[in-house]
Amino acid sequence: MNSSRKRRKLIVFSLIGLGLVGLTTWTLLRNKEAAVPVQTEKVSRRDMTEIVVANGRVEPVTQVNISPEVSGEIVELPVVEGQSVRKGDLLVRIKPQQYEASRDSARANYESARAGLTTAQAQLARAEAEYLRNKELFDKRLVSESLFVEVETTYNVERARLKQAEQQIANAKAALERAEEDLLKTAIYSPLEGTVTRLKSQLGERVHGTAMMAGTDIMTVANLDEMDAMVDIGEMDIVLIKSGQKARLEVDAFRDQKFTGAVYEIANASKGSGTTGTSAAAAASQEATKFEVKIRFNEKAALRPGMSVTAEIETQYRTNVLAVPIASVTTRPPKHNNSTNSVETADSGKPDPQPPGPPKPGRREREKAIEVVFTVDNGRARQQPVKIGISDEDYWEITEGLEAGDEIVTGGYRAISRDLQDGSKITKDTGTGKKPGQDEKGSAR
Amino acid sequence: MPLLARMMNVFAVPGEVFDDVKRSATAPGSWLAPILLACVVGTISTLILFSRPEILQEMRGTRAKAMQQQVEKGKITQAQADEAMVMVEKFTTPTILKVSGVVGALAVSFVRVFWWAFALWLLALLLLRARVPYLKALEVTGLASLIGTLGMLVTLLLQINFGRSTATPSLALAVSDFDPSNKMHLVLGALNLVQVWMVLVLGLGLARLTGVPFARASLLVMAFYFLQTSALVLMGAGMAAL
Repeated sequence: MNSSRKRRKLIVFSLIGLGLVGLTTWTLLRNKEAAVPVQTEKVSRRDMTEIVVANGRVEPVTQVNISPEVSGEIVELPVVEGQSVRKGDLLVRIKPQQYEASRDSARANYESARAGLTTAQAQLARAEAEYLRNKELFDKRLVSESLFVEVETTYNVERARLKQAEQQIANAKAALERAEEDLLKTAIYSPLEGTVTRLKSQLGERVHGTAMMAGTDIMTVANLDEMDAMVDIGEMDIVLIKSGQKARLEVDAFRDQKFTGAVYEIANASKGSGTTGTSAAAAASQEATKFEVKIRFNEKAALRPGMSVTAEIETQYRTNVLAVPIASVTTRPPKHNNSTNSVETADSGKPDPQPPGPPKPGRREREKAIEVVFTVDNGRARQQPVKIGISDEDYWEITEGLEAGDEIVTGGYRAISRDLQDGSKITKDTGTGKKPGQDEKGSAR
Repeated sequence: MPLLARMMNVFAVPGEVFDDVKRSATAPGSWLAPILLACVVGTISTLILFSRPEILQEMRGTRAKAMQQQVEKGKITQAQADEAMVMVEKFTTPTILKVSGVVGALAVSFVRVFWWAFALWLLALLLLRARVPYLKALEVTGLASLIGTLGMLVTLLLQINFGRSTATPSLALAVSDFDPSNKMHLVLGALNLVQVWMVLVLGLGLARLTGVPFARASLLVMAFYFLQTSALVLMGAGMAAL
């Protein structure tokens, strides 16, 4: 009985022990490495156009905000929003009665000043004659010196009065002209041929205006024959933009129509760079630095100010260059033996094409991450440092590190950006591969 | 019988061990030590399992496949599926999986022993008309759970070798593309040899504690196990369907 128990124990423990040892040995020997499913593609040559994509709005080349220089009630408003106007057409009339009264008052003052001048001239003539007669008598010692001095003084006073009267006329004339000018300003005429694109005031509304400052914004008149796309471009790309570069323009409202244009004005300073102090800091912290670029539309269409537009500006064009799909380029910490070939992302001035590779790269490693692609070598991925050139929507130009015909890993996104390491076992997954441009996460820009 | 001897002999001569449990005074070590051992093994297994890229890849693949099925059935759009996948990826990083896995392993180690002890106590009381002290039932289930702990080790080794998290010492091992929404696959997965072994040993323990024949006691425990497993399979299928 006892030996039977011992035999039973021996058998059971042996079976358990053998099972565990067998499984462990199998595990250690097999050391199965998971093959990462990937899609691959051969490196090829192609023509590439580097584009910078930017969003913005359609704006007229010429547009004028109409605001009054005099205050008052609008008594005539013969235009409506969207109406075409010719240069010189009446846009607004402000109640003129007050300004007519001012003009009449100024005119009366002017006439009064002119009458004053006539009086002064007559008095001066009389004083001058008196002076000349007394001077002659004084020279002959027939009148006293005190009397002569009195007459001379009277003469000088009358001369001064004449000058004063002349100045009063000038003043009155200027006031009259000013009053007439104000009266003229009660009627506002279109300064250009165009369209009333925005009408903010209405008949009977009181508007305010001064000659020195902008008054009430009554309306906007714009020439819609010539339109611009005003787009915002980030600081990384603005250095690539030059005047005269061609652009493809897509207006959201005209999905079926493609427009073209040319860059003609590039902002020298970023948006908001003119602001100072805390407001500038707040603005900077809230949005990326953007520069305004103007692109002139080549085509005429029923574009309206404020429509959303997407511009693809062609910045560089190269023919027959080695190119790889954008999704295939990623970054990894450099290996020691290829650090001399490394292209440091921080120094390259180019955008980081993919998130850094390993799951937890240290700060030091992240700073020195290099751009790599994974080539296919006997079922394994090989990390290949590359130098990248220009890019378009789908491809990066490779200037160094690859040759035409090399087979590289082009997907999936996770495999390239995280899972693959140098020497990783891979398996070609043809079922779910996406062509360049279809990988929603692959694009670096 | 010393604790270590009990823990070893439960694999080979469980009847003797349970006789000793019935005869001896209550020994908390008989259930506490197996639970702690299960906690250690469960923690290590979880950490190893979720450190394996192939396992993580397989889990991602399973999730993506399930999501794709939902899209094909028209329950969700591709955009919703992509969004859901991004969200799931956020909350299933290796670290989160490890932490939640370890917590789960610790919880299961305790709950399993106490739950089975309660089941034995209840079966004895209601169906065998025998009063079994709960602590004695706890000692039996604690010692029997060592077989489950051994099963954990075997499962870990199988998962590493087969490169998939669904590789267990069950009939599902033969299914290369295990689908959690497939009821047959779930049933095959439930037919776990180590579990069956443990249930039989639990049946033996119940027989020794109550004094009823082994066949009757083991039949009861086995029936309870199948009911419990069926409920879990149905719940799993329901969750997968949702």
